[in-house]
Amino acid sequence: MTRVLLLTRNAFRGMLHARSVYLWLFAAFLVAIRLLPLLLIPNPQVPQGFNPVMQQRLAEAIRNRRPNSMAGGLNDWSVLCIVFGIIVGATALSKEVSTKTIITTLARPVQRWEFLFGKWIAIQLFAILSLAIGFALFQAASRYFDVTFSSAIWLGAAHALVATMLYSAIAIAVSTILSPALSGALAVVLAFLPGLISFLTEDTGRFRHVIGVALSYVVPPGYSNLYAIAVRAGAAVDYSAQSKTLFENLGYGVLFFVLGCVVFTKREVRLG
Amino acid sequence: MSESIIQIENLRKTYRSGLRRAQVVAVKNVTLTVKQGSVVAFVGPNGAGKTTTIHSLLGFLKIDAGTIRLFGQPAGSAALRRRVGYQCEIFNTYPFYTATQALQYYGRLSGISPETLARAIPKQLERLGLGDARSRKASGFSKGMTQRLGLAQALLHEPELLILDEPTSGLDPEGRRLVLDIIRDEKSRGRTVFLSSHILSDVERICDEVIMIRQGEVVFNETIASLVAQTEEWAIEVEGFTGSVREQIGAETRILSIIGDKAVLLCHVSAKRGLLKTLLELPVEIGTMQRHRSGSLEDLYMRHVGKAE
Repeated sequence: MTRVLLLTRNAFRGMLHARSVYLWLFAAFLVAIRLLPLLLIPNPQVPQGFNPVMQQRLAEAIRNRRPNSMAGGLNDWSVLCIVFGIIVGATALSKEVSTKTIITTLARPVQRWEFLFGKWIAIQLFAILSLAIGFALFQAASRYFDVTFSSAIWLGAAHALVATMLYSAIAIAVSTILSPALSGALAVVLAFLPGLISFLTEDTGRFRHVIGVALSYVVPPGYSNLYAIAVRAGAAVDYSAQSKTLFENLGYGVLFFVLGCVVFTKREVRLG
Repeated sequence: MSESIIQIENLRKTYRSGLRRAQVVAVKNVTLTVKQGSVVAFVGPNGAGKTTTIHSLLGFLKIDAGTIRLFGQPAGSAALRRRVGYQCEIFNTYPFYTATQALQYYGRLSGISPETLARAIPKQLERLGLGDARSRKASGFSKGMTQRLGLAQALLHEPELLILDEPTSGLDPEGRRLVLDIIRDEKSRGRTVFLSSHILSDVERICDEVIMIRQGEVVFNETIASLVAQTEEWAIEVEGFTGSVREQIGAETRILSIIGDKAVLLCHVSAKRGLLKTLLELPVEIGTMQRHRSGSLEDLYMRHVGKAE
């Protein structure tokens, strides 16, 4: 356990050294872009001259623009954490190989799985820290703009964390056999596939439906954005279904990570 | 008889390379043994298979054939790595660590307690001439300092076996001498050292045995003592050297130089007594006598390894 902690701390320091904190600045910039219109035009008027249906929709959009901006900003922040997990996960191993630091570490009584586990835990810690900063910022912003979130916001945060864990596990696992670019790309493809799968499974065409069902067994359900629900007053969340999705993602994450560890233990460490 | 610390038998290692996955033989057939307490040099040209052999020994690579045993057990386990200190050819550490922090990290990974490390790290840094740089970031170190830090991390947990890949490369003469002294010191403490090097004069100075590898095969394996015995001669100065004297001293005696009637004769250690007897019966004056090395390790290297290049 001491070795895992050491490797985690080392990987975490590496992330900070690699200017990963700029992620927070970038996320803050995105949030500022999201919230700037609320500051610049605090009380916009509904534009006139549209047909009644459009007029009604515009009025609703203007009424909900504060909660929607807040929910959108939180979602952006969460997606950035997931993207960060994928990038760091995909490059963690290759960076150690290219700098040859892996050799000195693995020449010690360090198990290969401990090495990967330390990296993975460090990514989760960084994601937790990033999300905590994001949530603190949005807490302050929601007070300022008088927006209230339901308790579903915490479920949304859990989804973001578990998705970071899942996709960083996929990126790390695949990077034990493929290049960082391919590992990252595969993780991104797997993150986008759930949308396509639900489209395919609902298709009435037999062939597409079967493909959708087959893919749904191998592809993790992925990230769900619950912030839009959490910000809507009176919107109900199906906690049981959401918990099931969370645990499925968690299970897939652990499975991919264990597979990655097995492959990494069996493979050679070659410095090129 | 001392215990074998490293035993490699018929090691073969191939790689697949390129789009066509062509087979590249990195190590064809390596058999070697390193005894406890000895300093053994593993020399050969670039690409001969030295680092592949070392990495196979440490379990980084999967071998195609043969056996590798460390301390009598199959190599590759974490428990065995605890007993080994390894310095790779180009040592690199994390740029955010100071020298002390880097050693703390590696020391803790080797299972050393923080209390022991607090005592051992300053000593080790002083020993390697890095005492003044203990709080400096390793990323700002010169090549020589980084190499010495690499040696410090290998020595930190007091391993029974030291595997050093080019430990003196990139060092200035002072640094080189320091590292050689440390290797000698480690030997005197009973540690076994297996080092790969290109600097043959260093090998000659500190090693007990030399193993030469060429194109993945061991082509020469001899102790330095026997090498010295084979190549050591006596140089005898003779005054009054003439053609008739030349005829009578025998063909096995070589002539190093002739100036006027003065000559310097060379004979193998075993032939010295016979030559002196002959010279005493001839009308010559015998001058100084001194030991002379007829061939260096470099000559041997060129003979066994150099011709392939």
